[in-house]
Formats: sequence, C-alpha cells, structure tokens
Amino acid sequence: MNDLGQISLLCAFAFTLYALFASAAGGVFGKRRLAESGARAMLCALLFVTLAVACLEVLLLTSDFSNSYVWSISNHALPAFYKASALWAGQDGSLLLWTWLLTIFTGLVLWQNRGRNRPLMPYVIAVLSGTTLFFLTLNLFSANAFDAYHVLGADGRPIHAFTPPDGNGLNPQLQNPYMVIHPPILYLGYVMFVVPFAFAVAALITGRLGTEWTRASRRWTLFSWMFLGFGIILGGHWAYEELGWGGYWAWDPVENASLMPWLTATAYLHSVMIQERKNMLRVWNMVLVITTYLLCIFGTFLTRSGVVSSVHSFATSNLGPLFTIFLLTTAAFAFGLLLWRLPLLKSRARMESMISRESSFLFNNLLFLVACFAVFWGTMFPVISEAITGDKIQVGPPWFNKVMVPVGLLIFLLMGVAPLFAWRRTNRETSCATSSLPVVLSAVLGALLFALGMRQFYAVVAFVLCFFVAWTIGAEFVKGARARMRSAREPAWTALYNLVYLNHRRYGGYLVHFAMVLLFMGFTGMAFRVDEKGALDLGESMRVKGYELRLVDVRTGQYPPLPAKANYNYEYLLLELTKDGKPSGRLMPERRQYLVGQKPVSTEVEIRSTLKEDLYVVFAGVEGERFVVQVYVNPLVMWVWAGAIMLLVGAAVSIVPNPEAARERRRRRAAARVPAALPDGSLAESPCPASTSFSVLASAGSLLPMRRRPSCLPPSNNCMRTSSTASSIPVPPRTPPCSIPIPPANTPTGFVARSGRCSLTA
Amino acid sequence: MAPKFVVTILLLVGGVGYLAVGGFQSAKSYYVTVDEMYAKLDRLAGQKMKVAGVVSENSIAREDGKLKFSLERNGKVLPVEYVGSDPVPDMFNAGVEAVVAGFYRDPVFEADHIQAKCASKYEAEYARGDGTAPAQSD
Repeated sequence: MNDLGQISLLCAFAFTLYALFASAAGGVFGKRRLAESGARAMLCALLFVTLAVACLEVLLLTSDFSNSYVWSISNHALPAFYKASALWAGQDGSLLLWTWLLTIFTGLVLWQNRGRNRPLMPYVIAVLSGTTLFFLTLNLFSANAFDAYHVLGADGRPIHAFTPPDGNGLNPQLQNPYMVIHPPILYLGYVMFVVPFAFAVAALITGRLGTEWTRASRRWTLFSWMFLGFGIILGGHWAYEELGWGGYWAWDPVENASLMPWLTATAYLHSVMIQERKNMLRVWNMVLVITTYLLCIFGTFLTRSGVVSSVHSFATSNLGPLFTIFLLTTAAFAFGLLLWRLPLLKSRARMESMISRESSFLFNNLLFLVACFAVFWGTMFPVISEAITGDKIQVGPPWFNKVMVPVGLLIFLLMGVAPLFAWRRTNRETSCATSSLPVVLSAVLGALLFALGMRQFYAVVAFVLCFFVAWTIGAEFVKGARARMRSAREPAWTALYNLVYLNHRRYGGYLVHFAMVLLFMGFTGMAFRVDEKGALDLGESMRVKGYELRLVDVRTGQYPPLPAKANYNYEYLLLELTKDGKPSGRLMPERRQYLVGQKPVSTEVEIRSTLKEDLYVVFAGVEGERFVVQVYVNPLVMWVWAGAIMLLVGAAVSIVPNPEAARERRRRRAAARVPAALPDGSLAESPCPASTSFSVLASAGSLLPMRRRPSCLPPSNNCMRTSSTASSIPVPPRTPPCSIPIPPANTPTGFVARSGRCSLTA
Repeated sequence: MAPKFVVTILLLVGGVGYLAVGGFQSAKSYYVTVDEMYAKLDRLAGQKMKVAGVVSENSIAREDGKLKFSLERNGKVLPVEYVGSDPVPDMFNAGVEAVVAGFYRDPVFEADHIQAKCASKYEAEYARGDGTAPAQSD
C-alpha cells in the first residue's frame, strides 16, 4: 500500500508537470489541442492523487504501522472516526489533503468552464498545475506520507524497515469533533483562493482585464472567503472547548495566519464590486487577489515551518526554504505581470466625493489592508526584530488588541454608514434625514450604558455601533420591502422574500453584515469576563458572580470500559450548581489521561451556555488534597457562534445561483444605463462614467473574438450591461420593467455582444 | 486624488501607526531560550521575557499552592515559579517543551503564563528516532 501510494504520487507529479508545460505552451503559441491535453493531464493527476489519498486512508483505517505517518498519528485504541480524520492531523497528511483539494478544484474549474472563457483557460490551468506541482513536490520529497517506518541506527540513518506493534497515538487535543472539521474547512478556504488567483494571472497574461475574470472567479472567491471565515471561527470554538483557558482567540501566529488572507479577501470582495460597477480600482483588485493568494500559501507555510513559535506549530521541518522560494518566485512573477500590464489597467474614473458609496468602499479597503498589515507586522515581529537587532521580540495579545480594536470598530462604523451613502455623491439633506433617527437613538443608548455604569470606552462604542449597524441594515430591508409592497402590491413577507430572492447578492451581503453585528456583540462581551479559581474539598463550595458551585463527588474510571481497549482514564468532579439561589443541575468538568505515548492529559471543559453568558468550568488539577476548579463567566459568547452561522447563511444567499435574480439584475442594469446617453448626448447622470466603456474597449485583449454564449440576452441589452457606450451610438428608449427584456428595434449595426462584452466589429 | 482623500488616509494610517508604536513598549517581550537568557541577562534584566526550554525531569513541585519547576536547554537550568492565574496547560509535563512568560527575578523566573507545545512533540519523537520500537504499553 505504501508503494502504491508512492507510485500514484509520482504519476500525479508527472502528469502535473506535463499539464504545466502543455497548457502554458498551448496558451502562448495558441495551440488549442496542446492546451486541452494539458487540461486532461490535470484530470489524470486528480485521479492519481485521489488514489494516493485512498491508499493513505486504507493504511490509517487498517492501522498499518509499517507506514511511519500512520504510526506517528494513530494507534489501535483510537476510535475509527478519528483514524479516518487523522489524514489531516499531521504534517504529511494535511499537505496531501491540500494537494488533493487543489486537484479536485482544478477538475471543477475545468468542468465549470467547459466551452467558456476559452482564451483564459490555458493560463488558468497552468497556474493551477504550477501550484499543484509545488505541493506534489512537498508531498514527494519533503513531507512524504508514504515513508515506511524504519529503525534508525545511532547515526540517524535508517537500518531496516519495521512494523511497530502499536502507534504513537493521536494528540488528545485533536480528538475533538471540531478538530475533525476545522482543518479541512480552513483548507477549503485556503485552497479555493488559488482559483481566483489563477484567473487573475490569466487575465494579466492575456490582457483581458475587464470583468471577465472577476465574474468567472466570483463564486470561488466567495466560497473561499466563506470557508476561511467559518474555519477561523470553528478553530476558535475548538480552542474554547478544548484548551480550557476560557477564551477563543489569542492572536496566536497560526490564528493570525488564517486571519490575514481573510482580511484581504474581504477587502477584495468589496472592491471588486466597484470594478464590476464602475470599472475602477482594477490595479488594486489585482494587488488584493495576488496578496490573498500569497497569504494563503504563507498561512500554510507558517503553520508548518516553526518560523514563529506557536502552540500550533508542527514539528520544525525542512519545508521552510522550499516555501520561501515558492512564495518569492510567485510574488515576483505575479507582481511583475502586474507591472507589465499597468498601462492597460489604469482607469480614468476618479472618486468624486468623500461622502459617497465609492469612497466608503475605498476606506473599507484601506482599513482592511491596515488591519492585515498590523496583524502581519505583529506576527512576524520576532523574525523582523531578530534580523535587525539580534533579539527576538514578540508582541503579545495586548498589542494586537490595542491596534485591532479601533481599526475593527472603524470598519464596523463604515459598515453602518455606507448604506446611507449614495453612489458618486451623497445628497447631504436626504442622508441626514434618513440617519438622524438611528444616530439620536444610538447616542441615547450610549448615554444609557454609561449611566448604568459601563465605563470601558471601547465596549460602550462597540455596543452603540452594534445597535446603529443593525438599525441601518434593518432599514435597508424595510425600505426595500416597502418599495416592493407599493410597486408590486405584495404582502409584507412576500415582498421581503422576493426582495432578498431577486437581489440575493446585495441582501446576502447585508446578512453577512448582520453576522458581523452578532460577532462584534460577542467580542465585546469578552471585555466583561470574570474568572475565579478555587481549591475545593468534598462538600465545599465557591461563588462566582451569582453562581455557586458545590463539590459533591469525584469519580474516576476508564473509557471505553473494556481494559484491553481503553483509550483513556478519566477523573471528573461532580459539582452542584446553584444560580441566584436556585438549584440548576450538575456540572462535570473532567480530566483525561490518554494511555498512549507519554500519557498526555486532556481537560474536558464543562460549559453552560445562555444567550447572556457562558459558565465555563475547568477541572484544573489537584493541589494536595484539594481539587482545583477554575471558573470563567464569559458574557455573550453564544453570539459569536450565532454570528458564524449567520455568516454561512448570508454567504450562501449570495452564492447560490439564482437565474431569475441574474436576469433581474441584468434588466435593471440595462434600465439604469439607458438614460446614460440622453438625446443631448450628455452622460452627466450616468451611474457609469464614460471612461468605463472606453477602458474596456481599450484593453487590447477584449477585442479578441469569443464564442457567443447561448444563454446570452439579446445583444443590445447585453451591451448595455457592461458599457454605457459612447454617446454617438443611438440608444434605445428605457425598457419597461417587464420580466422579459425586449430587444430594441434600433440596435446599431456593427455592434455585437460577445459573452457580456461589447466591441465594435471590424 | 483629491487632497481631502489624502489627508483622511494619512490621518487613518497615522492614527493606527501611533497606536502600534505606542502600544509596543508595554506589550513587547523578548523571546529567548534558557541558555540565551543567561547569556543576554545583563541586557534583558527587568524586561518582560518569554523563555523556551524543556521542563526538567522530576522538577515539578507544588509548594504553598505555587507551582515550581525548572526549564533547561543546552545545559543551562532555569528555576521557574508560576504566579499566573490561568490553569496550567494540559500538555505541561516533565520532558515537554514549554515557553514561560514573565520576569526574571534573580534567582527564579516568575512566570505569569505557561505555554506547552503540543503537536510538535508527537512528531519530533519520530524524527529523533531512538532506534527502538516505541514501547506504548507501559
């Protein structure tokens, strides 16, 4: 099985290598069949990597300890569930999972774009296979999951193969359901972002720098963003339940490593809207996509390299140099391409007013970047300071909180005020009228909180902002639903449903914003956390903030109860809980000692959650004759988990394909664009500056012929969507808001739509 | 770009920069191993430090409710007294790689935080390869 896995990886490597060169050459020399053979080679690579993963799973499930990875990560007593998921519990296996996911996504991209985006695809495949090749190199030469177990001689050289009777065992802290899903979900996020990067590079190489690549990769970006975000929170949940220090976030380097690409991806998700709408910020978007991709790779690297000391770090390994080389070459290549294409990317559109939707997006981006940079700086500071002064200086969580809390609150504030701004330029009177009520109410709330004795400045600000943001988001829903109720005469709930259904991207986004409100509520709650430590004897009790815990009994045993199969010994405290004088059940915080390796201990925390607060009880050990109990009261933690679910819901709403909404969107855009060129030829009221169409047309690549999609709308309408064409071209009158777009009779000749793009035929 | 934008952007970046620099002194700690700490002691005395080392065998003791142990690295041994309030991490045990944060108060290190490395131990074991089949049943 070891050999089969090894051979599969080698085959995959060969096919990927071929795919890289075939698709790149196919693209450069315009050889379509060569490029297609490259794409097929990637499918073969997918097949072989899948085979390798299957081999490793078989090895894990059959507990074949002749494989050193299986030995290091598993043992006979490990439950089958964890045996299967041990695939990603260690370095070698998790890198194999990376490769596997990447090849799967490559397959999906190929399937999704069959017959679409033809000019881009060869380069997309080349980038995907290039990245796959790098990871396969790691899988084969640096972190091979199929190495046989060898007995080593005194000089460290392997002497002979050997099958140990039992394995080393899985780290007990990883024996937690959240640990089973957290890494793959985070990986999904990391790996998926390779796809938008591949499209961005393809766009740079081909010079097709319009919205083609952003549209082709939109869903991938959203999925990646969603998985990253959800994965980060799941990791927090794991830490909260498993590590027993009463919190879920500690600015640990590995946590930071996953947060950084999420921050830049969030910035990109926002600024790409500006590109799609106004064709601005195109260079900026490229920078964001490239940076996010590099940060995704960097995150994978940071977890493994031991460059920065972290609780997460795997064994210090030899992966560092390989990753550094890959990161540097990719960065040089991508930014080099960007510099080369800079003249084509420049947009002539400009920001017009400080108080406008565009500028709020601009500041949003700026703040996300500042946040990302701060996190990067703080995380890498030991490395930087060592290089400069020779001392490794770390900055702890207080520093991150000091910098990130205000930045986070500013972003949050922007999120609340942005919906009040109009595109281009905000009419001060109307925006004042709509915002005066929430502003006044927020001020009242702030005064109230202060009067009630809340003295932490940031906490008061955060709660006030939560209210304000929730209000403005709610107002958007109410406003939209009311409009529908009037215009379409729908009852309230139908109107609300249709509103979200037909504008799923926008309102999905608002739902995510609402998730942020929940998250910020939860984060702020932690400012009021209380903790207390007590050493109790049987019958004694301790009090924390209205809770009273009395130690009733201490029980010990083995699990599973069969001595031959036992995985761990346990010892738990039986605590009787009284809340505000009323008995409220029993708590059983537990300590486990696993029976493998060095007999590691694991704390099983007991948590009582309510919307108001969590009671978090840890059995922290024995001091003499007494049992040490650590109790935390963490307010509003549930809101964080609720926010995570909301984030999924919101992202799902905006991802799920909705043909009806797409049609509606196209129609509305077309309708909005029509008055762009009024009979007098003025473009003054156009939501889309004249330079839009100009720069689209100017980008050389966009003039290349493309296959027309059968699903395209009638040409003229489609044209309206992407460009408010030069005013000399006659434009049809506004189409009535009916469900089927009517092709206007006076479509100019020589003006055809090509897959959502307009160009003048020769 | 309009000057208004430039000014706002500069204000934002400057503000964050101010916070970052201002918060730095109170939040920084020197990351050293036990032997490095002794080597640099004249310079780092009184500074907040994070010291990494391996918990010495048979050194863990509890006296008057306080946890005491020592860390070693490259032949140097550092006695540590834990004065923090958080529970000691699960992985903390003799022979484990640990990082303690706090101040050196001659002759002991007063740690208010202990971090024990987990995952690494598992794989490092194999990488070191002691030449024998691991005895798992003891």
